[in-house]
Amino acid sequence: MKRHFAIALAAAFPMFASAAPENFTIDPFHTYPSFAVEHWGLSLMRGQFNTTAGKFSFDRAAKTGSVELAIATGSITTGDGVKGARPQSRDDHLRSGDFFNVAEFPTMSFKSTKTNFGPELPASVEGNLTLLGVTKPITLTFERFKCGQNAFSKKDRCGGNAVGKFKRSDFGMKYAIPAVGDEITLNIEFEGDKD
Amino acid sequence: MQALLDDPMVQTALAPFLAALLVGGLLLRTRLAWFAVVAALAVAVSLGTGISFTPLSASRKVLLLVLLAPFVGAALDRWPNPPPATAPALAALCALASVWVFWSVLAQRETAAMLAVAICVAVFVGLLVALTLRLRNDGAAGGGATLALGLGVGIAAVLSASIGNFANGVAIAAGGGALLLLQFSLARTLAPGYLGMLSTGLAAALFAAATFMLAQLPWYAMALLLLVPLVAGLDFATRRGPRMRLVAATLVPLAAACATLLAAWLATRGGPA
Repeated sequence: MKRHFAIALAAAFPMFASAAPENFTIDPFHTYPSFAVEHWGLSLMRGQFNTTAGKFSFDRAAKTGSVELAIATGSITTGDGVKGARPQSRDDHLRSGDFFNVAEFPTMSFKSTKTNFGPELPASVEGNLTLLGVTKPITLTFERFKCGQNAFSKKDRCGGNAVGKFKRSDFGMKYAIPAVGDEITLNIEFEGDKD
Repeated sequence: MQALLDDPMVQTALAPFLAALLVGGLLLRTRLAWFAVVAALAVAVSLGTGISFTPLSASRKVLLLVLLAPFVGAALDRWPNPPPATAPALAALCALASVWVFWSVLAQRETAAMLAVAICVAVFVGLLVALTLRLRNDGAAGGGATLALGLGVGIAAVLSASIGNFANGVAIAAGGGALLLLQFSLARTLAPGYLGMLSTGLAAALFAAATFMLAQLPWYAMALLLLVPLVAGLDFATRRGPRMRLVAATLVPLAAACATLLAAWLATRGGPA
């Protein structure tokens, strides 16, 4: 009787078997948050953080998910890390108290509060960005989110690109506005293996 | 107008200098003229990044203490007979306060490194405040020390990847310069009192320490700043009239500040870290 009931239940809810959340651990070698900011209203300067850890998960049936990222602010690079004949490089300055204040705030983090699903996979994620000790909500929209299998490990793997915008002044990073723009475009390329 | 206020030179030097001149001039006949230094700094910070205290990061703690210092100093100046231990006690309090200011940075280090850095910063802050407070009855020495400490901290900061503390240092210098100009034009000195010298000493010490802790100012360049109030207190050109005294009291500490600048510059060339 119990067996018949289980079969009937599975037949009635075909997604029931795949409703478990899938958990992924960020691959630090294929996950690079990068940013773009206006410089003197002229060019769009870019930089990236080389060290990121975290995890994400989603449940295709329940259409829920979560993301947690920890980004080492000291790993910032903008292509100007060698000071040469100058007193300091731009990356040194970005690590100082004027910008990312790495000595006091070595990590910035993102923790999701809500995942919005597309037909099959997450389309955007709402959450809180913590930078310089200030936590503010931002939304990251997935420009792409794809899943497949790692050719070598045969593990399930997902990855994509997420984009969001915020004002750095909202986080107390007010130095050199407007010469260095206030609006930051954040672009996170990420990949992760299923646990 | 907004374009003018966004100009870094206006934010850092011109507006703070004019504010200090205005405040110093308005309060000339009172014992509060040295509020000019903190007025200059407040203008620079307001125009640069804005004054805010949340979250209370190390830089904001520095600003909080620096803005409170002149009021503590002014209160002490109204005390008819402060005990002789007042200045050393103030210096010791400032030293302890520096540990509170930088605790969020210190706490992230290993215990031995944390202790070494905390002691280094506290001793530096305590000594600089103590040496600066010794100048509280001498307007010429106080003005010269304020100008030289401001420029020393500011230029060393820009060599150490901290433009924010460059602006803060130059604003202190602008305040000191305005007070020197007022004294020179009046041909008399204005005793800084606790108000003036606690403001200058604590601000210079904490901005230098912040550049050491949060940017790349080497410890020995920071320590060399102690020469500024030390030589400013020397008895020179006292018999040549107030104007000559003011000129000498400006040039000698400036020469002492060059030691810090040289050390900071050599560090950028790969000197001892």
